[in-house]
Amino acid sequence: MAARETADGSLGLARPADGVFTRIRRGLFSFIRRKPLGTFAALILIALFVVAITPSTFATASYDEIDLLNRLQGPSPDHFFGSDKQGRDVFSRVLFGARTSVLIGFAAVGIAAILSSLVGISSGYYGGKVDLTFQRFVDIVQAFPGLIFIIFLFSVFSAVAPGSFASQVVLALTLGFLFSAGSSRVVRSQTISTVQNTYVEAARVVGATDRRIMVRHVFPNVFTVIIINISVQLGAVILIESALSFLGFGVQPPYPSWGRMLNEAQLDMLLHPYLAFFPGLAISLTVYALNMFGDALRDVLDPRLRGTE
Amino acid sequence: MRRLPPQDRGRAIHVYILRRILLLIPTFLGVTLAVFIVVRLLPGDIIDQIISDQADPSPEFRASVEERLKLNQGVPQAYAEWLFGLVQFDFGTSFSSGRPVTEQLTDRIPVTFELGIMAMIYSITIAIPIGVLSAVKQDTPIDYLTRSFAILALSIPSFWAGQMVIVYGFDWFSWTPPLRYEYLWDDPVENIKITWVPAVILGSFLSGSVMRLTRSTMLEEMRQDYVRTARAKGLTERLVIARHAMRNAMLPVITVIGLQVSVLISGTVVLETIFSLPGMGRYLIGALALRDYPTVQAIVLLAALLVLVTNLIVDLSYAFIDPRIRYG
Repeated sequence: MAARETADGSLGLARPADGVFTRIRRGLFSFIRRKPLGTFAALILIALFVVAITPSTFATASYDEIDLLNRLQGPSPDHFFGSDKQGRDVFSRVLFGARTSVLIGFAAVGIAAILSSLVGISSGYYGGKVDLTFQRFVDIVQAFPGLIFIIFLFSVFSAVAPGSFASQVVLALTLGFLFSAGSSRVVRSQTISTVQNTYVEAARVVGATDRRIMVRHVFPNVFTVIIINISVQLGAVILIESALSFLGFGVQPPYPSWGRMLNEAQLDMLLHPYLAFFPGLAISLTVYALNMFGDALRDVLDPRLRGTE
Repeated sequence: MRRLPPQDRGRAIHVYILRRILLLIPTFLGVTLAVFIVVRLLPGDIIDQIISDQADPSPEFRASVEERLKLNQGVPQAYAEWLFGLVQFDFGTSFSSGRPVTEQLTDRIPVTFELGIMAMIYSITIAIPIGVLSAVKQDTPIDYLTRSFAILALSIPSFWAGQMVIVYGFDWFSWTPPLRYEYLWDDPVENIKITWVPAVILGSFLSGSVMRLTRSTMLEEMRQDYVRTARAKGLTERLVIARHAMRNAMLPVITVIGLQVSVLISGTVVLETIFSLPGMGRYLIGALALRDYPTVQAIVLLAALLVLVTNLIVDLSYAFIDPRIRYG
């Protein structure tokens, strides 16, 4: 280690002269070396994404294939996780449920990232009345307990667009809106500290427009914060999506969702516990991996926290 | 950082407190407006529910119910009347039962509060000592174990934990969900027997983030110069941690505990549903399904008010506890 550092003088850091791929490769290796748990979590997540992209490759049946002769069967070689009240294969439904969770999770977090950057950057950059107005709206959104807020919005929007696929779109939109409020605060405070830098002043002096400063100078500086928000929120979004679907306000049938499966298991779970066990395990494992990976990523990306973990 | 002379500092605090309280007013009005409008945007209304029981739903019948429930009013007028009632602590009359909302909530509020307070006490009593221990023993197996536990606590959905306890509770610790709920003031022993399980589940979920934050702020404080000074003076490690590092490390932790009130309320909705506790959360879900506007409005407003006030208290207590805060 020490010999290599003195040999090429790079101190193990990426040099700007290197190509993008070299830098990514080097960053990747250092991540694997420094964060073994984070790497393990990343492997779980990669497996999850592969399943989410092509669930049918791994599933032993379709998610809505009804087989009334084999209903409520315990786990067996035919049905790895058993079968539900309508004889549908729980294992396959859990795999297809991964797609629902991942899709809604990423869509919601993406919407939250875009909204929170727009609101946070303009609020922090302009300050004054713009800031005051935006912040009062954020206050109002944050005053509502999250679950109640989403149940509200979801009920309103799902009347406009009923149906199983529409329910997922609506869910992603409302979750994205809710989560953008919290992260816009973080983006805003990062913007405020960025704007105080001399280079922003310099850009202003040479006549750069507000938009140019925000896009070229502020945005790259808050980008890390946005990435950290995304990685931290992804687990929370999946958790709250499952809670909503569990209460009956989330994903509508026939698309399987883990929360919905737990809801449907309520009646039969005392005699057939596997119905409730496997979907819940899938949620826990996914959120656990997301949290572990998010943690590791934040340690690597956020210079202020460096050394505290 | 600019230091103010003591008398200016006192004035600055007062101005800051006043400003914060004044800012609460527009936010609160915004919340009432949002609640009022969103409830009315929900598809369908209570008359649909009433009519579905009626053999011959005539337009006249609908009109008469609308008249009785004052649903034929314009939204601005209804909003003004509702606000006027709120000022007098009158939340209106429930559409579904015909009784005052305040009366209906008096039995339910304590149930939710009890669950919430028990969960929070449990969360704090396990999270802070474990977080401190994890920081003191940084990078030892104890640290890894407690950190993994904290992330695990954040990853398990509380409704699933509830389901697993209901399914396996008897096998694990011979606990079964009781058939009927006993109020705290009727039968305290039975009541605690019912409430402790959901409280522990909810508390464990809350404890995850408190534990993580306690650990990271403790680590940060333990690197500070004043801690080194305290050690150099020859204080025992116990005193250094308890009297010096912990005091400062607790500030951000208090903030997060305050912010968790919102998470706590969401959690009670879910756990009351699973464990059939007659609290506000479960009542809200029922009232939402019936489109019982006054009840829904009252519960959501109370929840929002609770969040707003706790956030205010956290901010203000911060101003008193931490002299480094600038009041800008």
